[in-house]
Amino acid sequence: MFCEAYNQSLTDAAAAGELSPALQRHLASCDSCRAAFADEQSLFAAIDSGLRAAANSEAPATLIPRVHVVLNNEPAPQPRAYRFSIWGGAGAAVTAATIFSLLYLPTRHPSISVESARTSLPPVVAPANPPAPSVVNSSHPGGVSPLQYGKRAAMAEIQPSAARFPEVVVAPEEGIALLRYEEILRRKSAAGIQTAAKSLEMPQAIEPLEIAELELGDLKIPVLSKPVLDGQAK
Amino acid sequence: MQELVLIEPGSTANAEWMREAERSAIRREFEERLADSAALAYRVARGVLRNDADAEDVAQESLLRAFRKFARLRDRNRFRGWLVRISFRLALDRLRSAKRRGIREADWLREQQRSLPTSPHGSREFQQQVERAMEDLPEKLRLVLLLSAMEGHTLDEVASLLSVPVGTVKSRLFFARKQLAEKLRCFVKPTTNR
Repeated sequence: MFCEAYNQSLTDAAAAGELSPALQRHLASCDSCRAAFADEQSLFAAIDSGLRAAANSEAPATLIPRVHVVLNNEPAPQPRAYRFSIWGGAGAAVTAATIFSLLYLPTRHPSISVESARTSLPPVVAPANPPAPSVVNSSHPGGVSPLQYGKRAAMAEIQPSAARFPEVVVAPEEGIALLRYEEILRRKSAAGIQTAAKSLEMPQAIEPLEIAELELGDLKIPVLSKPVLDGQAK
Repeated sequence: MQELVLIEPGSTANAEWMREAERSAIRREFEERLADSAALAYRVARGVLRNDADAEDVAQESLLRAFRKFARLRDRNRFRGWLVRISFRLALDRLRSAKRRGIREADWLREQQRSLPTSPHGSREFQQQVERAMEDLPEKLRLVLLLSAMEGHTLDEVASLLSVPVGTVKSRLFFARKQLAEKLRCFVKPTTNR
């Protein structure tokens, strides 16, 4: 058995097959370690012997003829210059798809909860006559999953469709003023419509235009006296 | 409007002939290497699989794969190392699939039932224990151990085959041997009372 102080170093030395001078000196002076080291070396020798036997088995004589037969049925490999790189093509396709998606596909907004959007966004002026919401099935509206529907509803609430009504975001006090202005406009337009309706109902009492006859007289043109030039007078 | 086309007589045939000549050269070069590399591929596969028939199949498959991609190998001096890696990888794949099928486990159980040798040094049974212990080693350690025991390869040659520094080969070999010794210590009778 190895001495306690040299146990690890002598085991490592046996595995590495190298002995340092200090270990050699200790082995020369310690019979127990010398015997244990011999056992360790014997173990490694047995392992090496087993490894060599396992690693150097003779290849069967049929191997090379078999390979020749297979190679003769195999088309010769293409020289490097003529080979089309499949991976290169795939990489180019992926890059092109990525660039296309970045440039042309709409970017997806990060998910915003409806409540937080309501609180964070300024008030939105609702259109005067908002269209009736389309009738949807609450369980599966339009064949869309509830999760997708929830997201769509949130987006619709945050961003009402610009295609239906123009939308202007204004401050609350301006919104009140605009609502008043809109009310006035609506009243005026209603009054105008009523006036037009009344005028349509009125009987047409317009008299035809009368044009007096024109009298054509002779045109009298007075003869002007000729101016006297200075040179001619002289 | 007339289009003018320049036709070089025989250019297509010439290019085709050049290509064919290049293919023939590749085939010839590969077959020259086959004679001294087939045994290496077989031994690597045999070291992993511990079965002659499986090792022969794997060696053939690895040589075929090497042939198909031989034109892509820029440095032809690295052919043997390249072939070693192909063969090792294919052998590991086959070993794993065989293990999945449970064949190996059945073999192992049969071998376990045999009596252990009284004097294992150099015996067939001890060699089987060594091979079995190697299966539990990490792949990198196992390959270094195999190659260093094969055909009297030096550390430099193993490093060249694996394209790693000599120091890496040394340390892997050291750890592999230590792990093997721990597993096989019980099969060797000590001459002293330890």
